[in-house]
Amino acid sequence: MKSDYLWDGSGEPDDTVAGLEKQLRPLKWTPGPLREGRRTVMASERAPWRLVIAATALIATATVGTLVYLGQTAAQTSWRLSGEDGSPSYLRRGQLVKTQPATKVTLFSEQTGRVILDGDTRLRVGGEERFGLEQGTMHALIWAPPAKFLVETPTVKAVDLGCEYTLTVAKDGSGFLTVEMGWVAFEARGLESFIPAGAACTTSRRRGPDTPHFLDARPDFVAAVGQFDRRHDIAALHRAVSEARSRDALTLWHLLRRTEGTERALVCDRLAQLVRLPDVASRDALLRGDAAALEGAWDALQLGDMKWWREWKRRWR
Amino acid sequence: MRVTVESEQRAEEAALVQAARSGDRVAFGALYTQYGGVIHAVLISRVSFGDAEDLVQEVFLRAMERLPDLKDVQAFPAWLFSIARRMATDYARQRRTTCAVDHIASTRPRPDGEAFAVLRQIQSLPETYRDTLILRLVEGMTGPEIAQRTGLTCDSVRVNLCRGTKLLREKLEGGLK
Repeated sequence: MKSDYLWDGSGEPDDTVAGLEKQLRPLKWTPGPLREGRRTVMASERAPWRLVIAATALIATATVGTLVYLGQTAAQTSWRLSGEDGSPSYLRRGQLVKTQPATKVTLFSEQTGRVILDGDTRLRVGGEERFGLEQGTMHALIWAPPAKFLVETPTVKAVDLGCEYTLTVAKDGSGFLTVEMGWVAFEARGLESFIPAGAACTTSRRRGPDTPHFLDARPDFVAAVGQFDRRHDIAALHRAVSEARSRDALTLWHLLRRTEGTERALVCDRLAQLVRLPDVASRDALLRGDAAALEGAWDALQLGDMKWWREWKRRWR
Repeated sequence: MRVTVESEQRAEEAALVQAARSGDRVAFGALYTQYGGVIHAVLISRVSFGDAEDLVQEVFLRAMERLPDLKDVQAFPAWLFSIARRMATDYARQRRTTCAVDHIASTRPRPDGEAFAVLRQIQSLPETYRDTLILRLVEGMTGPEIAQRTGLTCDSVRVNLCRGTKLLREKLEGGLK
């Protein structure tokens, strides 16, 4: 029925409505980043502001398939984008770097690190040590001190803890991270995930950071943890716990903070089987969510260089 | 079941608003993404398309500043719409002293002139129909989605869509004659 097409797009298309949709769809809102630092100039101030934008707007280094949009005249950063002719363009705060499909672009900062953007990626330069990945994939190798370099995505804030990693943001805002070296921390809505080298973590708009897992974990284990994250499926939690290897203690530790009551007891008991927990991390204390016990259990994971841990703010304390 | 899904969505949204009110910027970002299209629709039914893009930002920045004052998280959509409508009215009043700008610098491809011509016809419709039609035809939302986002009943949305489309059709046919 034609009236259904107008209502929800189902049924036989109404030619007029379909034609109007096609004509008007280019006007549809496309979400850009919310720019806190930029206050739009109103009314009579608008014309000069527009002229500034028009005049300075598009630094198109099209030869490398990259467009850099200037939001406003702003402070230059140490990040540079090299053109094909070798001439560097220094990025400014607030700029949007947008790569064309099938193109890779390298951003480099002597004091912070190197970031390679895959094709079809949109990256906002928030500042010297703050980027916003709106869509696409970035490969980062960061040499700034741990916890200085941040990447904000639509779902989480990724804090570099001295490392190399690959972060992807899909069109729906969900994210996927793999860490090649060091650590990355995800933060959102009071939840944290700590992802070491060899591990991965997904993110979603609804949940924020999911539970991380090692890339060599059994597929059944990864699937069960994912199911628990998505649906809080208790049967899946049981499967994950029974499938867990010693190395999956990382995942179990994170599950401690995502469960309570009998579910937490289930996770806690399995963790105690896989890892030698210190006295401070007693069963009772872990079930209470005691901060010192959680830290003791974390230390027992023995996951290599953890110097950044001393600096970390540990939201559960 | 649909009722359960809707109540879950409302609960999730209330949690987002609550988190955003406590200063969680990621939660606020999620609200911005969820409601940006609706606010854009409210704005382009009242101000020029080029100005609406910037005003969406202004509306959310103002909402972010004032969110701690919002008493009832369930009232977030209505509260946000009222900010958008007020800002659009203020903006239109201020802009009477300046020239019209639909042709602005933008980071996306410019829609063609026909799209703006149709938009102007929609803008000339009674207010009741404008927002609903723009949400359906520009933002691509379905009737049930419009009802869910705006808080209107499904029946009201259906009526607005049918009557609005009829009026728009008449205007467009009249314009062609």
